[in-house]
Amino acid sequence: MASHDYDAIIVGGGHNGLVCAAYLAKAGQRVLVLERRHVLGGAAVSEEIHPGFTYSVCSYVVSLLRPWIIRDLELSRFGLDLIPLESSYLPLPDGRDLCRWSDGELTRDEVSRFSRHDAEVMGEFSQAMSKIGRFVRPIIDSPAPEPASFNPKELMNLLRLGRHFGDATVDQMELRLKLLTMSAVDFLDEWFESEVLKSPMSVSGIIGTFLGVRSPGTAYVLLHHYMGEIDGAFRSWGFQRGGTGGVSNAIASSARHFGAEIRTEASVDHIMMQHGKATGVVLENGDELSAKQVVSGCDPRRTFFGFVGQEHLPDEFSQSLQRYRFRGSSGKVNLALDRLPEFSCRPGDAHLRGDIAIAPSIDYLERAYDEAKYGTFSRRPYINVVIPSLVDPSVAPAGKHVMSCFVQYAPYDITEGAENWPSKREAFGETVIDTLAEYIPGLREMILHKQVLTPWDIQEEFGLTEGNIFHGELTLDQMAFQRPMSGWARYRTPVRNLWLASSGAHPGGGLMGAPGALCAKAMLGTEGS
Amino acid sequence: MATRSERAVVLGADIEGLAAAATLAAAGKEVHLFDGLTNPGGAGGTLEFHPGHHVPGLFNETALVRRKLIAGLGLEQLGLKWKGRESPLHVLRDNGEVLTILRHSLAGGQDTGSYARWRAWVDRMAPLVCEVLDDAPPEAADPGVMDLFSLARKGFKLRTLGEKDMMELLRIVTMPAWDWMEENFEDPALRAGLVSLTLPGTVVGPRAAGTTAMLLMQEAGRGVEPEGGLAAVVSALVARCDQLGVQMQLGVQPERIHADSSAQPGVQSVELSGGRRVDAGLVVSTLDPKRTLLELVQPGLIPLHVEAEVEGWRMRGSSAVYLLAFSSAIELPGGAERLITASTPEELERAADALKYRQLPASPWLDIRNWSRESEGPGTLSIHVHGVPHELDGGWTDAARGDLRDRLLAALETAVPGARESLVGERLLTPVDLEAEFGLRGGQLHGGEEVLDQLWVQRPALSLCRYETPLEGLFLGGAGCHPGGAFVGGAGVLAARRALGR
Repeated sequence: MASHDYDAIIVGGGHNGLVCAAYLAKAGQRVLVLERRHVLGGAAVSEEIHPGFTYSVCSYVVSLLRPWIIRDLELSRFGLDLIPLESSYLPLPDGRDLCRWSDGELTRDEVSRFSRHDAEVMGEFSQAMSKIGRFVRPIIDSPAPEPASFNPKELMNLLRLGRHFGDATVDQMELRLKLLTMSAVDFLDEWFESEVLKSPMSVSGIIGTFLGVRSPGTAYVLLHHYMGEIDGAFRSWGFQRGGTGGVSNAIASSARHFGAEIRTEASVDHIMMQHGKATGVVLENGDELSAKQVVSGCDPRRTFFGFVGQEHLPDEFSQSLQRYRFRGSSGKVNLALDRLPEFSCRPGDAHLRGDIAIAPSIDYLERAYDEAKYGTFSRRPYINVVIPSLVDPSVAPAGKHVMSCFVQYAPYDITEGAENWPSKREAFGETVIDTLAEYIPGLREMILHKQVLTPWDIQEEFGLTEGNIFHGELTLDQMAFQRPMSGWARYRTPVRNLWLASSGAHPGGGLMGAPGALCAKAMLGTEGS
Repeated sequence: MATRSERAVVLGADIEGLAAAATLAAAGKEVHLFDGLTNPGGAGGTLEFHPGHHVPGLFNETALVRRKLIAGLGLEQLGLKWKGRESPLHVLRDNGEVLTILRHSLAGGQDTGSYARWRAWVDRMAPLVCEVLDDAPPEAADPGVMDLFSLARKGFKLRTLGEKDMMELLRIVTMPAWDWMEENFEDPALRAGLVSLTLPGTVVGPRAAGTTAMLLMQEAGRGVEPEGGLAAVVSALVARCDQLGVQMQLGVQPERIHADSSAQPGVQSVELSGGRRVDAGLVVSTLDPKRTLLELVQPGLIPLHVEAEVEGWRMRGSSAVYLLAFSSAIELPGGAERLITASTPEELERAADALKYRQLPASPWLDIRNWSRESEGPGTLSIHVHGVPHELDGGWTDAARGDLRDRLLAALETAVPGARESLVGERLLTPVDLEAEFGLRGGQLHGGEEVLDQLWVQRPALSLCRYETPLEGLFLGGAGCHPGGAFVGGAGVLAARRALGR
């Protein structure tokens, strides 16, 4: 048998593909990463779309990047530089507002303007959630359990997990069960009375899914806010200096340092197959590259139906994959501004250095969802805004700013058909600007440039099927041992020598790096370490 | 005269209360049953809403009675009969055609093959689902050896289903019913018909995650209907209670549950309206958990964290019941006994949307039950409407009631043209009316919302799911306990058995 060009070829230079490459290279493998675009990072990229302004085009904050990956890959040495977000601001249409600070005392003062009760229970709530956060962390840091297995080792693992779960007070058990099964709103209702607090908190439950804040099963995502770690500090979110792409670049530098080869503008046409095994890739320019193992950093649909082809897949696997739900629900608007925007609710900029939520009430969020259910983008959407140039001047010329707006709901499947999104792009962007202008008078006049990404654009430009930012909805039935489907949650695939290292595998989406790292460990047989 | 320890008090004369009383009395207890309501069976009992026109209970769904659990009460000897055949569900399409859904066949649809495949899967789940429905939930909070054994057995049953079935069950159970139906069927009317049955106890629509769990429980847990509706079960239970010497007093409000003042407090007596006290060492309450634990139990006896759990118990009503009397027999399209007028899941979703904003549904869908054969009057319909909030924006004024009535009659006219002409009497029960007349808090027909986080071990709370309460001798056994209000006759019997130490 002819020798292989590489030990492993990684299709897709998103952050998970790069993490996987770095781990394999570090273990001494000959690794090649192939990225279709001219920049690395997939959805974690920074690009200078307008001269002088660097947009974090898609992903805009860093939270769950695993600390052990940062250590293993020495990312700080290669340019990882995270600036914590200090606050979370909610302006209201009636002129009131609420700012939640990383300082608990300050937040209590703010909250007590709306509800003394809520201000009092906030501390207890954070404590309870952080406790559960600590319980959940091992789950996202290790491969998914396999409940169907009769393998004694798996049964022991299950038993241990059961004990892990059972080994808690009744209160804690109750809370965990509720988090898993309740809606974000119902869950928060049990703690808080003020909608001004509940509404911006509840939205974390719906990001990247096509569900409303009142839909059961959205509560557990609240935990993510209590699981984020930056420099070991619990419950924090951060910006990467220079834009989110800096995270990807740091991982890429680490991978190169360990010996990986990385090519951009190298578009893979398909994965080469021989006798049911993956043997390498064929590029769009016709080049063939062989490898012992092929790893996909792309989403499951693109990987299997795009690069492998249904004819090489077992029928049952294809059927399950057809059912795997993407249905992207969000868009992105990036703005270059010629000055710092001012919110009419509160002048100044101290409260704008974190994230800003347009989520004035639960009914507002539900209405936004209802419109999307029936096939249009929300006329008044939920928007999560950050102005990274305030804390990181390197991303905009002096005195000028970039504003990143994550917008939900923008359903991939609009009534007119997803392919008609381009004709709606302008109207979608205008809706976002109109919505923001209700809080920021004169916003329109400050805009030097705008970039509007609909779910269709996210699919076409970044290769995320149906524009889903998590490579498939993060709902209970598509998590853990069911991601992307039961029996295949351990990064292996039905195609021998083909591995899945993307957010479409456990533990899922977000700028975590865990799927990439856990995939590499599975390939190397070092899962336990 | 029995001693205190031999005497048991049952609070609540709904089906669960009657079933609990009969179970306790059959075990030799001296049982006293009290309820502020005057109609045995509560919302499940016979209701004459217009002279000569009765409905046998307010519920259109009567095939979910836990027949296995009430079998020991010998109700068949007292005249209770079960229908020899299953009752079909009919779904009305926009073009006036009717889809007939039976357990093992489908008439008038294109999904015959996929329906048979889906049903075969549901049937394979049925033994496990029924075992769960007909058994007390395991002690999840503090598992004992027997609980672990029972849990292990369920787990084993789960595993013996085979890996494929087991993984499929785990996959679907948290899904929105909307998605599960879409995966299986082309015909929107079939999807709408099946999903419609899962909504009455919830404030959500079919797109809400977890609605599949309820759909599976209902489809796998369904049996045949009692002849004469739930009221026939009520009559037989009342007769059985009489036979067993249960002392039933209706129209008597329980006011307070008193406890022993000794170091180990246990139930001592129940105080009734008028100041009367009945000493008892055992109290089974089928009143809702909030009423029982927050209002009736003497303050200070329930630990704060349990009180907090009970306060979090959600009982938001979501349905109105509209009872109609006609001068002549009414024939529903397709000769249906039960007709769903929603022909797409989207209609169900839109009606549920209204609940969120505390509005009336713009175009309500109807769940119509034709009781003409069971009622003495010539024509009787009972209509359930999902999407009607208890907390209506602006309140339940006469105008609001009139508005709802107009919308319902318009919807009825579309489904059954000409029916209105022979209408001679009616009664509209909004959630507020259901609360006032039947003691159903929030107008909740099922004793608590039937959503993922309020089922099984979480019904009504992890620490209360075994029917026991922190107050020794006090047991909860109503629709707010597993298996819940849709699965009639379950909670009452299971609570009574628990109270008897079985």
